Amino acid sequence: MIRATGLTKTYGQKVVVDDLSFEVNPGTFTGFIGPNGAGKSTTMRMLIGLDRPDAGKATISGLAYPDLKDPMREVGVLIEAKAFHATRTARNHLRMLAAAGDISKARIDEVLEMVGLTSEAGRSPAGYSLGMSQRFGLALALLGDPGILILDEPTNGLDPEGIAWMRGLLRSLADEGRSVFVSSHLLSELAQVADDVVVIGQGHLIATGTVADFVAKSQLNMVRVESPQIDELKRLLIGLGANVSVDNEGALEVKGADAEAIGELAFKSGIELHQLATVAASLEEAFLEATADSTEFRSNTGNDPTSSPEGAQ
Amino acid sequence: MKRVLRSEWIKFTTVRANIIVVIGGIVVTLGLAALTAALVKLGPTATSGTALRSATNPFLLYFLLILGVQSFTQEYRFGTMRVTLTATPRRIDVFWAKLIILAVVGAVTCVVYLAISFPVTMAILHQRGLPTAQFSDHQVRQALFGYIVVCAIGAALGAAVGALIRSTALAVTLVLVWPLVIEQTLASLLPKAVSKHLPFQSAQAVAQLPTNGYLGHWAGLATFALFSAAFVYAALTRFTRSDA
Repeated sequence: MIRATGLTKTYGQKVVVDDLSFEVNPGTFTGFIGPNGAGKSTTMRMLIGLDRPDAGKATISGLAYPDLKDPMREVGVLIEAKAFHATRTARNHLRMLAAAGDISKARIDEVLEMVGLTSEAGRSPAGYSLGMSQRFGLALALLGDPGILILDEPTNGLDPEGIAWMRGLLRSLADEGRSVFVSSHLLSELAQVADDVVVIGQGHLIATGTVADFVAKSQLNMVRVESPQIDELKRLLIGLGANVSVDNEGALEVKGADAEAIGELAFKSGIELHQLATVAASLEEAFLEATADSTEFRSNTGNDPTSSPEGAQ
Repeated sequence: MKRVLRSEWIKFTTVRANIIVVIGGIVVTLGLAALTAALVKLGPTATSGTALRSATNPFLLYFLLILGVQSFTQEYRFGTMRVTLTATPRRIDVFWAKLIILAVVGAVTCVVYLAISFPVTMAILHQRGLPTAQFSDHQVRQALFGYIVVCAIGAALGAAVGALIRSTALAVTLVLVWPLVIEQTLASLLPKAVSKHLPFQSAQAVAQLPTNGYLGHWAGLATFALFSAAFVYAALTRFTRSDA
């Protein structure tokens, strides 16, 4: 179990991570989502003890990372994709880490095989393409065969094929019972494979929970209504406080009232309906909407980051 | 701690530049020592002390300082420090492991260097009919041993400076400019009674026979060690407390 409690990190005047609390449940694949600059990497560095939080704490299985008895066997980390010495070979890089974790030579061959870099192990990973670097980074994370993986943007710079490969591998690692905590600035990259999401924007928590919940909660969900008495319905809905617009096919797009409420209103007012459908937002739309709002939360009181400005009115 | 030491040893030996600095340091300093022995003009007052000084050329120390600096700054430059500290989050272990490895490498490098430079320079001086230092002389052995200890401390001092400054260019500049420019200037400006306490003047006193205007063996060693310890303490404080 990964747990962040009130994590806060400030660089100079800038608050990069602001009172961030969340939990990653054991055995789940959790996406850590936020736009670039949201504080994902800083949060991950605090989780593994590289950066010291200004307030709050991060624990893994109840302990601060540096207090773990055998960190490499408990947590696999990919934090920087291109952190290699210019002349040390990939195999020597693995040997150096294996020694630190008292891990066997056989395991080095295993992880190289797993990410398909056995034939490239004799040269420095500094010369690898970004895709190869990410695969090699994953090999490093898997060296201790850990039950928890913390990976910062492992899909960054991969081509679509590479992303699919990475997603599949991460999913299968989660299916083996590992907790996989993966950051990405693109929700769509992880939405299909992640169980849960932790969404942040500007260092604030925006949402946690299952991917489906996150989308359902989004204000972008709307109801599409077709009716021969469109103008009258529109007037009534506006009277209810809903946000109504007319699309180019002449149908109403209603936000702020669900299908049930609209159906009831129409029935009571004797308005004929031809279509009444809830339109789910795409994941990316939900994500963009949620993170765009985080700017406004900062200028407001910011006491309830999960509600939208519309909901607060 | 054993794991970290093994890891740091693999880290040290798998970087070609380290091996080049060690071998290069030995070869270059040997060349300088032999050249000194071959060309030095020794007057009638020449003693075994002046002879010994051609063997214990301080240049090796500068190479070892740079080697030490790089053990930290290279990790910051390539971003591998984060990888290192993820594998071994107990920073104090990483810090001491690096310093121990560097000190051992410094000492062994110096042993190899002296094993060649001492007989070679003495043979050259002997050939020229000049006075030589004898290994059987207790004080000569003490000076040679002293140089080995100075090299061990020097490599560790370099590492501490690297951990403190993190930038290769700045740290290398400091460890070269300090002994070669700043101390030389101070030594020429200050009275000997003061300048003999400067750290690298003290280090030099350790590797030679007792000489006027220099501290004695032990006082010199203590001064150099104390100076280095201050850097090590500052470096350890920064390394364990600040963000990686």
